[in-house]
Amino acid sequence: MKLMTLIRKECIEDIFSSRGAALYLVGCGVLSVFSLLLVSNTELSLLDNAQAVYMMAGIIMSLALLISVIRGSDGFAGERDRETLELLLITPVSAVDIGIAKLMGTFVSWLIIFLLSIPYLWAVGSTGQNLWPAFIYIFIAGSFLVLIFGGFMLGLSARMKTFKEVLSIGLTLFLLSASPVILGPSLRQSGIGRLIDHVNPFGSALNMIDSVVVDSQNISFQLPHLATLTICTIFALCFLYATTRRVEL
Amino acid sequence: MTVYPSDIYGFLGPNGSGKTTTLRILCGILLPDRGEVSVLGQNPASQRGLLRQRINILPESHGFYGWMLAGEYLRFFGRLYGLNLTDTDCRMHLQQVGLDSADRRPIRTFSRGMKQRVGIARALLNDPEILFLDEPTNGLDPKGRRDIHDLLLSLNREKGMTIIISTHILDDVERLCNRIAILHDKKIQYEGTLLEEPAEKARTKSGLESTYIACTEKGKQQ
Amino acid sequence: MKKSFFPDLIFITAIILLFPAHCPAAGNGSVHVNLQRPAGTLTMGDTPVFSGTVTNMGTKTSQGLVVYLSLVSLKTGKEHPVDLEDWSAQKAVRINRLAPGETNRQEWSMRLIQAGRFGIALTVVDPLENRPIISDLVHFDVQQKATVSSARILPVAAGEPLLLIVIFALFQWRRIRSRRE
Repeated sequence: MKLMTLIRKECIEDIFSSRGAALYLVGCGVLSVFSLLLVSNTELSLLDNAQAVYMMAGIIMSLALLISVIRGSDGFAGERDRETLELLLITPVSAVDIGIAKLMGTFVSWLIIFLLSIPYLWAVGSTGQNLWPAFIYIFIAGSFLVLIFGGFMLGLSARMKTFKEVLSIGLTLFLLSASPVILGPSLRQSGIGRLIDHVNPFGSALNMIDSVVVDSQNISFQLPHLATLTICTIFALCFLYATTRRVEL
Repeated sequence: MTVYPSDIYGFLGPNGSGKTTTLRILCGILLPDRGEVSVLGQNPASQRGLLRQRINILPESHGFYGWMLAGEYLRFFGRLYGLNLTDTDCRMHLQQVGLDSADRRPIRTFSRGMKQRVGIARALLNDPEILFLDEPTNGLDPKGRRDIHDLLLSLNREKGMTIIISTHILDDVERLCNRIAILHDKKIQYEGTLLEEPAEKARTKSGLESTYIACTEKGKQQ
Repeated sequence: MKKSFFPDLIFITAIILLFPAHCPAAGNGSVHVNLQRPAGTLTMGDTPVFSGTVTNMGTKTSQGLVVYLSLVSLKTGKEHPVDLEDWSAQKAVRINRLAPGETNRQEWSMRLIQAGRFGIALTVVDPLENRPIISDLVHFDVQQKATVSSARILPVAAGEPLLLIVIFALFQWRRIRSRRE
């Protein structure tokens, strides 16, 4: 009951706060702009549906990552800044439960973003191949990313003092994670590029979606990507548990 | 420092003397560097879950979830203490601190004094055996202060609630406390009782004032 | 209208330059390479399979043969080689060993992501030979198909943010109304 109360509070706070509404509107806006680009730009309008779905999936994954970084950073450090953390810590609820509730709140935010993205995916990909696998794999990959980055950021947030400190680390992490994708295929082919691609959960998530949606490869090709994502998730959740076992002001 | 059941214990000291830190250690929010702490016979650091069901605190500077309605706020914290509060219960708790018909107002629209009262209502939700109050009359007008004094005295008399008040407002201490400790430079400089008799009480304020100044000055000289 | 052959001539020259050691389909006499296009009309989004064969016509075993596809756009006046990155996941194959008389058959799956006229050829590189062996250029046309339809996208792109604003406003209105009751 206590855990559900905390999760409910996180979700309602997300919906009723201007921050939550702004995040969803920005997400919708980005997806709308990209969709409009697809129809207004001649080159992009000739893209194969699967390719368009894959590009949109990249944007959706970035939104998932951004939500995790922002909400994770705000988790404990934001409450500390707003002086509401002390009130939660003196209740008979453990800090681990507070951490879990905040992670679930982040997950619900991701669910909302995912639901909002479904009409866009349908609009760009309904006449192409692999739309249903795209839905499934985007959901799976996004969920892993939210657990990994959300868990890690919440863990940092439990230990660091202010929201700004945690957010600056989070945004650096965001750029580092997305860098192999930004650097382009040639650098990704190098030894270090390949290594980073294999250990970087964001890279794994995108590669998995590429493999399923564009190359129509079956689940056996996705196992290495899923393994990377699972291992990173386990590490992130262990980190969250270790850091929230003892949260001080 | 020893606090007995049903005490209203005044914890005095200048800014930065360690009053808030001590209260946080007593509630198990902070870990002590050294020394032993026992609250209701339990160690606040190792038996937090059990202890927190029996105590509560009104921190000095505490934020609010401004988007919540006052009633919703109490219901939320009530659930964390395992209580399922109805609308009537919430209204009753708010009335207790002088906030009639405020349960459907968002907290962000409240004045500082009203927020302080909501904070006190929250601190009383679990009917704590020990109530820690850090500067409880901050931001309250004279009538508001008087109301809170009356409420705390009645809780102490009727329920035998132990109350520990951290403050530097001597008037609060004089009206409420039967025992005090004066903290300075992170050390207890004085611990003792306040006299009850009216004739003595008339002299107490000046007595308390001089004791307080002597203790804090002594610290400075050292 | 009489069609000018001049652009085709330029393109044939380009092909020769692109494949400097261009040889007839029969190859250099020891390895023969052939590519077959699938039957029927091809449309954007289709995934036709081109069938390629490499046969060792010589008397010695060939080793370490590299076989790869080359695709060129034959749009009149805009002829250019096409990067296979998005067209095929299967870009090159290595044949470890091809005994005399033996034929290696490969299926080359393509995903047609662009409309137009294209030419595709299969090239075999034998490490012991100085010249690559190239199949005949197989021509094929890809019919255009609107992949991304504005009829679907515009309502979603414009409607969803508006719908979201309405939903948030409704939530807030319900909350304010519940306070007043």
